[in-house]
Amino acid sequence: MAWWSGPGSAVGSLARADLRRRGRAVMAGGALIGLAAGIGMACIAGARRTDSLFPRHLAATRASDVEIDPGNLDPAADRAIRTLPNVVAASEWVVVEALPMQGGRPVDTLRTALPFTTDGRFLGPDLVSLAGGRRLDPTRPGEVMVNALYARIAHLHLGSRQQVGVFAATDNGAPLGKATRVETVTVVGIMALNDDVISEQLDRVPRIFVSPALMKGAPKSAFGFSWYGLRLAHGDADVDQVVTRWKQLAADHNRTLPKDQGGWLTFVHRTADQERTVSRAIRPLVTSLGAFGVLALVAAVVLAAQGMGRAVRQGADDTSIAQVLGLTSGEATLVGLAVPVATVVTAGLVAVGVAVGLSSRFPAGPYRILEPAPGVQVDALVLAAGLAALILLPVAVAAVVALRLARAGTAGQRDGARRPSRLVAWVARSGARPPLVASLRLTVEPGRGRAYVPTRSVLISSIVTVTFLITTIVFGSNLRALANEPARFGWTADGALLSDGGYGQFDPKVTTPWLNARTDIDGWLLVGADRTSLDGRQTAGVVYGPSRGRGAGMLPVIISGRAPRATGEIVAGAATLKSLHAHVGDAVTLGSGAGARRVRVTGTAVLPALGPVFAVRTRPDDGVWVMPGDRAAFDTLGSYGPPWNVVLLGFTPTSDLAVLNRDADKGPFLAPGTDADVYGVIRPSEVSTAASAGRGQNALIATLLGVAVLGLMLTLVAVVRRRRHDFAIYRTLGFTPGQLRLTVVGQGLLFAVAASVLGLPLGMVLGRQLWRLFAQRLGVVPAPTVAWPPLGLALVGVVLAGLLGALLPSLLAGRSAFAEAQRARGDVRS
Amino acid sequence: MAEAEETVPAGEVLVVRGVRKTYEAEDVPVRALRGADLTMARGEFAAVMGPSGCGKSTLLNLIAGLDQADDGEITIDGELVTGRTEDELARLRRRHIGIVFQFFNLLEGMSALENVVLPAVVAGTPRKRAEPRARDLLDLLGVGDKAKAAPGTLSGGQRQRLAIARALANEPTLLLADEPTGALDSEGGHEVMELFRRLHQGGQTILLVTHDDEVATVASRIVRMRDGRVLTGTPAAATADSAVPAG
Repeated sequence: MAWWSGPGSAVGSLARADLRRRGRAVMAGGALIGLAAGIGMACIAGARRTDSLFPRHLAATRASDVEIDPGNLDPAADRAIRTLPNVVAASEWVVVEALPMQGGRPVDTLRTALPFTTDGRFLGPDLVSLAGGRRLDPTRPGEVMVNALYARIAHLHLGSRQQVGVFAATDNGAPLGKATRVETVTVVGIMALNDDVISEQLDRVPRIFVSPALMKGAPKSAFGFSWYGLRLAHGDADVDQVVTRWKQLAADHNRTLPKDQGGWLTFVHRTADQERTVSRAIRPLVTSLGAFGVLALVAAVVLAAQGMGRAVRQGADDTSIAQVLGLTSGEATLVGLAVPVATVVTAGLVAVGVAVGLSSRFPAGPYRILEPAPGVQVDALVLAAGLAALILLPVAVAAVVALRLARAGTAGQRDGARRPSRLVAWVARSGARPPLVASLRLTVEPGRGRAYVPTRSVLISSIVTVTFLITTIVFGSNLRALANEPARFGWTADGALLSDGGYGQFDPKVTTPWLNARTDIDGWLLVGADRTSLDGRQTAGVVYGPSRGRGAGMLPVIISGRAPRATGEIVAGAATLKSLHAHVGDAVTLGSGAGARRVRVTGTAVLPALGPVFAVRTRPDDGVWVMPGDRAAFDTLGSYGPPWNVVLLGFTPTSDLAVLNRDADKGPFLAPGTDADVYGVIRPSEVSTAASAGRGQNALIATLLGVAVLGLMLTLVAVVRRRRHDFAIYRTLGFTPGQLRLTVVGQGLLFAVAASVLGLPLGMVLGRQLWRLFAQRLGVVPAPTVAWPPLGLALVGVVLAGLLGALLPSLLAGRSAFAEAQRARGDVRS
Repeated sequence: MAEAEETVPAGEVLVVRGVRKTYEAEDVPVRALRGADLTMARGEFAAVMGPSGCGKSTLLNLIAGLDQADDGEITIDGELVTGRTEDELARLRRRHIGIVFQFFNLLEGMSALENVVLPAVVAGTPRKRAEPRARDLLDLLGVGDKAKAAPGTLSGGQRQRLAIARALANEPTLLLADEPTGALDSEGGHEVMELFRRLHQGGQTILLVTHDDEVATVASRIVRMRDGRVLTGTPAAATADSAVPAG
């Protein structure tokens, strides 16, 4: 007789019967666990999708490897750039004098917008992303695309029509003449250039992309700055060679020009730098999303493991009977596993459905628009790993429990008494109220046989849940502190003044009297911020100059070593030093070429985000603080940039940013045709992203509390049902229904208090450590802070969760009847 | 096995020799059996009686292989029960033992018919052969019309008859019953005892544990126990004559 047609067939019958009997519980449990696991898997997959977004976007849009700005469109520069070594393809965009018109005149509010056209760039190479509509047809002069900022400022939407005039440029901001061409254009697309999406506050510019057909026949002066995107034969590996060659060509060319003529510029944007910036900005979002996902998945797996252990024990009576009828322990184990396996398989199916369904919600955050393949995505790796965790672990737990019960076999029906808890005995002797003693007994004595409830494992999982909760709160309060305390990301000033987007200079002779005369500024510090290099690695640097009042204290935040005191000393960002494998005390080479010099690293600092717009700027963990005597190590920006191109400001309580901006635009320090901007706190994008990621904290707290309430409720229902005989006895001993309810409520409170007593310190330690790691990776000040009010609220929440979880079971307990319990005791179907 | 067979007198289905069992309850050792001896001939119907705690149920559990003896030897139809693993005991039960409990121990997720079919299938009987026999047993025990019913919908007497049918599914060498009427009203109790009487007449060997003198009258022999030992094995009629009717 084959096993399959004998005992195997019986195992199948018993398993089917068990599934029929507990089918609804299987479906409900599976759906609940699957939902939590699916959310977790979706978040982990979403984190991976978000993390890989920008590289995928670059690949999908045939992105350039490097972008060179030679200055105004110039046929000679155009030829030189296109013939640089290893250039596979080159295309440019160019700023044009194509301005929105109203009543025959350019619209004043849109004078700061950036109108541009291309030779096909953004329509083929560097393909622009769209927030709506379609890309313009370069053969139709009446079509434009605008970015979201432009659309907002100009009150435009898809299909909006606007008059655009093409003008000849004038020198030094003189009024424009008559338009050479006026065209009514239609907004056919809301575009999102990489800069629109990944840029920080400084770089956000309203942009309008006019069709090349509109600019056909326009005067030469209508074309301004141009940017060439170059695709190179060996990608980023060729960039250094190309840039070096371009600098040589520019220097050679510029030597032939009169001194007052600007010549070709050497502004360079390396795509790899942009990729690093985005990666850094996305990191907090990816980390928090991934952490949330892992927590949700772990919670689901723990819930599943606990539930499956419970499910096996609930079915243990039947398997025990089946063993009496002749099933071996192995066969009984298989029967015991039917419900757990069905539940986790159901959970797995639900989880996959939820994870795939939610995948269209990712990538998360503002970068989502760059997704080259939006919509549903199946992350096979995450799904496989998630399913493995969701199915294997709980089934393993269930198998161990089932095997133990089966090995105990028929003896399970007559197992001996366990030693009563000494704690319970001590509490009882100390004169505690009977419901409290009963609560404690039901909590620490799990019962035996069919009355067994895994209260100890629930207690442990409650402690784990509260630990996670406190960890989340400690981490979240540090995220909030990061957002609210700018010094944590190196911003020690109240604001900053930039001229011409950081490319204009502030002459101290005319700037400081203006600053000193203002009553709404109580301190200032002149800063030179631009690109330099350390040991050949490009980075951004800052040099601090004259100051007044509070300005002297607006320096970077030192986190190790000391500030530089003399020429030849520098302080660097932690990531900068790490990338150089250098340490405090080491000597490194600052700058390149003629300006290069050896300097000593005296410390690491969290640096403020400073530098010109569209340029590589210092970041909390990246950049270098240089003494004025080493200023020559900065790359030259021609007539732009340092020595002083940023003024850090200290505001008085009466300062008004709008007033300051208005007055700065008339400042004596401005070069003709330029403007100035006063900014408040300038947040690096990674800090902004981190702060926004912190908003998901409430969802995580709610999830954790929800899991805690549910787990507790299921346990207490099991306690009330499986130990109804105990309750019946309490009733015969004189417990009123109210006292029975109180016993269960007390049990809920005991779980909550015990979990809090252990979970609070554990969570605080874990939260602080996690924050340190996170802050170090982000490059901000790592010292953790503890906000007690949210912790207090969390503990109140835990206690309320304990009460909430005990509510329904306590009502069931209050209805316990002795006779019913006695009858039930004799019937295994109880 | 051969050794056991040599020591078992011909015709004796059950031999219990010097069985001892001590277990702990509330940290206190309880000497449930202190050297119990019992033999049963094929076709015999014995009722084990005695006061609470005398070891009746412990003896039944040890015979059924539901528990392990500390000392002594038990053989059923020449096969040694003691000293076997749980899985070996499970296989032995398939061949030799049918058990009826006080509280039925029916599988609620299965129909009455499936409950009866199950032990036969577990023992390796093809389902096609097990089902007709199960139906016959249900008919024989008067619950043939309840084949598709869930056990929970049956009366106490019907449930116990179903449990007996299940116990007989494998034509066991020995039918064990632990207080089979304990959870039934008097009518149900009488029905069940009548069934046992008929089964005995049909040649079934039955060992029944009860504290009810009236129930014991159905048996052909009364086995009395006290303090973990078997005292006597007297004909049931003699006991019934002197018994105080159960109240």
